Amino acid sequence: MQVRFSHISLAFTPDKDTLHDLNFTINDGELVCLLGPSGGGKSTTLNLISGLLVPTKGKVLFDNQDVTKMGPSERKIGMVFQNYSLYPHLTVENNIAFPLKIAHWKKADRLARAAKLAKLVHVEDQLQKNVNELSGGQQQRVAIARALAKDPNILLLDEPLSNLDARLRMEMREEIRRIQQETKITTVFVTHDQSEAMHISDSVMVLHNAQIQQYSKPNELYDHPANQFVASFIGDNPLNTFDRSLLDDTELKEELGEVYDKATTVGVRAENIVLTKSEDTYQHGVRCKLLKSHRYGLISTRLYSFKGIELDATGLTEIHDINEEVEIYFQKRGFFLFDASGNNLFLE
Amino acid sequence: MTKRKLANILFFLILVLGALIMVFPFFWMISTSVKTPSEAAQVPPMLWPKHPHWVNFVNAFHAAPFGRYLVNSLIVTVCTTAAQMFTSILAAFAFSKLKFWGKNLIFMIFLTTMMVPIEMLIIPNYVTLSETHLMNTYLALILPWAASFFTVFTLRQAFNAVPPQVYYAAKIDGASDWKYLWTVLVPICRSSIVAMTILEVISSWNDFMWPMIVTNDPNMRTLPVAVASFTNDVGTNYPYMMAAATFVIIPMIILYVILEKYIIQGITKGGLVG
Repeated sequence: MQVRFSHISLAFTPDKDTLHDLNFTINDGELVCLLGPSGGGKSTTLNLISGLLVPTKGKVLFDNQDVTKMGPSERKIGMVFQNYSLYPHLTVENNIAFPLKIAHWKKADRLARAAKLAKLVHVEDQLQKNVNELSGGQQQRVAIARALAKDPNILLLDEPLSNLDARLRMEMREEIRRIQQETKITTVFVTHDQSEAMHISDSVMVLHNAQIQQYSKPNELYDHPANQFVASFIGDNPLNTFDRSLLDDTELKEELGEVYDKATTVGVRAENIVLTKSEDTYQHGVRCKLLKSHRYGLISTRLYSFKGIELDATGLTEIHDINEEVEIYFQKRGFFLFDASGNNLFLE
Repeated sequence: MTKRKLANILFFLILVLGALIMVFPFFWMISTSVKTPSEAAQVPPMLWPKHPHWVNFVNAFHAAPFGRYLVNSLIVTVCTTAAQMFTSILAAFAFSKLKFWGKNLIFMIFLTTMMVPIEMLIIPNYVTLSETHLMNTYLALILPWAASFFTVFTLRQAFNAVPPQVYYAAKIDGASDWKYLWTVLVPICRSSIVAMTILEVISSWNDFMWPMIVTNDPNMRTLPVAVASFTNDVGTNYPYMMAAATFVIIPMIILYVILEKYIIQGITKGGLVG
């Protein structure tokens, strides 16, 4: 089912919008991540889709049908919460079958459905156990099965992996993807973990400051961030940013051309700093001094000093001494210029 | 090792002493109930009579219509407890999960009523019931206890401990507030609810003052009041009174033994000191 927000605003207090004029469409059968730091409005957006919250302004449309005024139970959605929110007094089987019991299904029918869903999420051998006896990962599987019980049109997941440890999180991430692809259900997934969002989704919506910062395919976010916020939020390594004026007396300025004059801030990804120039890089580098060098496992990190500011670089293999001056080059794909309001000037 | 053993023995002795102190009144009750009136009044008191008069139990039971009193006590206890639990569960749910105007203010006002001692309520309640011509009825025995803010408060604490997401999950699963309350919240909080039920059963079963005040028809008396009727102008027949007291408290002791687990759980979970 297609989900559309049309001019949605939500204000908990009259003077400040928690969400401001949101417009987007989630296509049928897609898995979309709502990504952003806490307080960015992603859970609020999810709750607006679920009907647990009602917008102050605007319309929520499911397949062009206006559902803005409908309660959560009428919207045919399933939802999974961060803390699983299973019913602790019921067995796995009865947890999965609970929505069907509320909908007055016959006992035999609902148990059959519960067994089928348990199989889908791989907890079929746990059906008679109390949910408290299960591990976190298993509990989350049960929560997903329960959310799917009524054959919803949309599956909503609110930070479903945050309570799991790192290894289990990776496993469950793949599981959610598998279940979503098997059921072909439109899925909205809330997370603050950019790598989770990048791995799992068809599209990612970055939410910050009550607004959509960017809504596009995962790789698009990384390659062509709309603004400085997205550029620094996406990616495993921090984005180096510094004032444009530091480049004023370099030849790099000439190479960048007209766009340079509009920029106020420069952003360079740590993984796009290299020591040799090539076709991928700008032909003019900047002179830096190596301050620190670190390596753990596969990852090596370096800290360079450039005109009093510090630049992180990762993935460099050439060895050179601390305090030695070298020329560093910026790869074009990880180099951005932002204007005063943070917009990526290379996108214009 | 030996030091630990010694500590254990000492600990055990203290517990035994505590248990003896708690059990002694019960023992004294039973011992008195099988004495003759003169043995019961004897100084120094005798611990256990040479020839126990078990017949006292039969005589005490026939001295008054205890069958009728037992029925009265059962009706009053069951109805009071059921009514109080029902109103308290609904009120606790409202205070815990619902949003309405003045919620906190109303809660604070109710909270202050907990500071009013029960004895203070006797006169206004009495006046209300006599004005509405309810004296000597079951309603008089039940109505004043059909709501208890102490129970509301305790259950609200238990309900608050259930994460709000469970409520949202139930909403999404299609449950109304009413369905959520009875199929999810109440079962989750059953140990607190059972504990409060038992406390209310005990206090209702043992209540003496209120039934004494609102009933003067012997047919409407409850067991504790009946027990007191062995005191008259001439004096008190202690053996009969204690025999009657014994069969009044036996149901409570049985109930306690069966449900002990829940009482302890409920009290420790709710974090209340009764």
